[in-house]
Amino acid sequence: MNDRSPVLALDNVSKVFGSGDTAVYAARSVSFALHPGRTLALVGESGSGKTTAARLIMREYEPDSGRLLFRNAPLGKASARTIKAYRASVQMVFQDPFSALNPAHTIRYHLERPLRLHRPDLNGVQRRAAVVELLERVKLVPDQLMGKFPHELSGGQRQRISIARALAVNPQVIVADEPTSMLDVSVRLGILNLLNDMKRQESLALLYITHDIATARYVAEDIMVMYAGQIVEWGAVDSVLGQPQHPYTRLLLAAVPDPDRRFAEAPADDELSRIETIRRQSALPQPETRQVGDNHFVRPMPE
Amino acid sequence: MKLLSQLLHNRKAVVGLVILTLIILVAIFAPWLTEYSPVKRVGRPHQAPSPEHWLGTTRLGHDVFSRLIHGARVSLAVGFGAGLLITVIGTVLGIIAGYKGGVIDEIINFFTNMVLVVPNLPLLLVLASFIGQASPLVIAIILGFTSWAWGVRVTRSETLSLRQRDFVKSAEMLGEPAWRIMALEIFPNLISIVGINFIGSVIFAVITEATLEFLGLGDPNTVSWGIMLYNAQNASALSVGAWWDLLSPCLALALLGLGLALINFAIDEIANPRLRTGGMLNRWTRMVRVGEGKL
Amino acid sequence: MSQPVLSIRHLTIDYIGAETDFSAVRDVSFDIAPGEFFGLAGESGCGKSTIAFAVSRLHKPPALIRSGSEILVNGRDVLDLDEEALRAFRWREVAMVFQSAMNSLNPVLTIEAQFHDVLRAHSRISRAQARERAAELLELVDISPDRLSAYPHQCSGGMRQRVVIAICLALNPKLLIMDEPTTALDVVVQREILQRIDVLRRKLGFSVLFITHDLGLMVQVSDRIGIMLEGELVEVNDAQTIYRHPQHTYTQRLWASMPRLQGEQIAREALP
Repeated sequence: MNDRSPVLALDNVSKVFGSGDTAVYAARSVSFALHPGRTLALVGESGSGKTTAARLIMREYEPDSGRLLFRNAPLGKASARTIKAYRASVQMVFQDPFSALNPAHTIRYHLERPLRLHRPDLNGVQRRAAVVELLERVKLVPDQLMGKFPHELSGGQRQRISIARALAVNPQVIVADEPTSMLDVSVRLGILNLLNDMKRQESLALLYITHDIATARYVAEDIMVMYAGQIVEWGAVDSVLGQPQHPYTRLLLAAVPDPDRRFAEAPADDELSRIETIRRQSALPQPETRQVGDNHFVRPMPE
Repeated sequence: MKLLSQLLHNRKAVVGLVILTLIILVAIFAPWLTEYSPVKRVGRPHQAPSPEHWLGTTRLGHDVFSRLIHGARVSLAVGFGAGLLITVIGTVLGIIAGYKGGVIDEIINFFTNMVLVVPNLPLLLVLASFIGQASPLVIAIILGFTSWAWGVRVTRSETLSLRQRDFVKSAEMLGEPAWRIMALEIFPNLISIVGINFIGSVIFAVITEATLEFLGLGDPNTVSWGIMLYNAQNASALSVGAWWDLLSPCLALALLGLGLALINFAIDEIANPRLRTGGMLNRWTRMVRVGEGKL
Repeated sequence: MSQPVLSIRHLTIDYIGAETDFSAVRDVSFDIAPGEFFGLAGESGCGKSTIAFAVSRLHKPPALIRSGSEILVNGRDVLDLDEEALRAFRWREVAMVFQSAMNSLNPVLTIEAQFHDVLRAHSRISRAQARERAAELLELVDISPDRLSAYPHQCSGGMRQRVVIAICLALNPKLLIMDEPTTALDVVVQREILQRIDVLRRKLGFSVLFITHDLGLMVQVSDRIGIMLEGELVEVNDAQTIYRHPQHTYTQRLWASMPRLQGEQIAREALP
């Protein structure tokens, strides 16, 4: 199999909640692919659909239309064995380090369970060794932490355990849903670096979901910008962030706190209505796609 | 376990546990603690407390102390037995309803509502009188199967909120089977609620059993605190001045209730750290009074 | 400077425990001039929110403000005020926007009723006058007055935040304290709200004590910035100096931990 072929892909996936007037289009014709050894950043505001995309990948619910492709085969009609393989291949790192670990269980338990479920070939001794190895990989000291409970660990340590748990089953894809937004600033870089290292060492395909666009530039090669369930602009991260084409992308980038730019004296009246217009128009369904660069695409906003 | 060691550090818990342990030990060693049989006539009717009969005698000449400590066995057995039944049914149904949701939740809720709506004591009265002279075992069973509804509600709502936590999602994504998630991921986080439910159910069972027997629906040949109350009432103990006859079972029930309630408060405090004040508040008040600081 | 709006001197706050105490704020001193936008930055547990609460004397046990601390608002020591004076002081001289301000609106009252609540608690005012003033205030934050009859749950998060800010400005306070006011909001809404605050500040002349962990945001909007680490104020300077020439190693480390959107990217390893 070609190393560049995607491990996981969404093909024209849509998801609607509710119906009629109150229908919410959480995902509208969403298509993207995850390749081994590459990070794809998914950025957008709350309600943009990025969480829905993550949930569809984790199979919390099924798409209303379109398909999920795993190793180029549609997952819809998969056998139980394929589903089990899928579960081991696609893991998630959650946003909230406090809620991601069970307060009633030790760290050892958290890391042993995935091994018990997906590596039945290991006996007790091998399993224990595997847990030690996992902790060392995420730069934690095994002896200190194995018997501890989650509440005895800091947020950063808990997030590292989450990553270790995800790595335990030798996945091919990791979905990181805002993995650093609830951590202290000085701790975030360490976690991002860890994700990067793991990605490179294991040739993982990483889907990095965030609202902090600056971190997307730091960790990702490719980026997608979502709004109202649609991917409005996507491509290589330097191209999209350097020469944004879609008005919404430009709006988003202009709003990112930049210490080099002090606030203007007053927001002009027409600026506020311009923002309104961009939001309204960007929410309209737009099937057309335009290529604007080597690896840079946009769904032009309807006028 | 963590909870146990925390309990032992809590003053309320220690007092409650001491009371409870004392009552249990007295009940277990009852035959060795008294020379009198609880059902034989060993003295004159309504003798006041004396060195021979520490708590006096009943109208039929039975030794009150002997009846009291033998009766403890029945009250404890019914209390803990029914309490266990109530808690097990309530917890299991509550977790299943909360975790599974959907149709299963609807069905369990329907039955829970039915049981909740029926007033507890009148139902028990009707059942007990229908059966005639209900032995403690029968009473325990009736209590167990009619009083679980509140426990289901509480357990279900805790389960619902736990269900949303990421670690449950993580377990599901790993492919853990549902029964394992309910028993080993969710249940360990419910232990304080279940503990409080259990102790509360025990208190309820003890009191309700005594009530049923006091009202004359129990088996008069049993030796239990409820029957002691029933006998004392029939003998008009208070009017003839034989206060020991009535007060002994009353105080015994109150003591057991107190011990259990203290344990419950302690579990609640441990589970909810915001309720813990104790040492901190004293130090704080002292510092403010001395002028070391203010709010 | 002319008399500062807020003058904090040797503020020390401990959280009293059963056996040991936790030192949340250690001997912190700084001033805020009239009309100044002062930012207080730091990570979780550094004490910045504790300071904010102390200014309005909102703390409850086990918090304890050690004697020797002074919090002067327009020259008066807040720590000496009695209940009566405190009530008059709160909201009139100092107003506070909390972290979860969106949830500090009463869900069963309309927006108008919430304004009325505050206005009536602090001044004699008729229903009609209160409505007029409420409409005036809403316009300050760019909300149309026909929203007065709406309930909080019918407004978006950003709009609720703006309502809270409008209510805070109802009595023309000299100092507005904002504790992570935009953390839960999206970046576009965040920018709108902060721009609006900036404009209002210039127009109405109040000072702002702005608390956040987002240093980049703070530099954009503040005049001066204080950096807090574990209860201590380790650096205070004007915003551009904090950005371009940070003095303290902790400040330098914070900057080195924040990936840049444009220009040169930070090094992989942050400074120790």
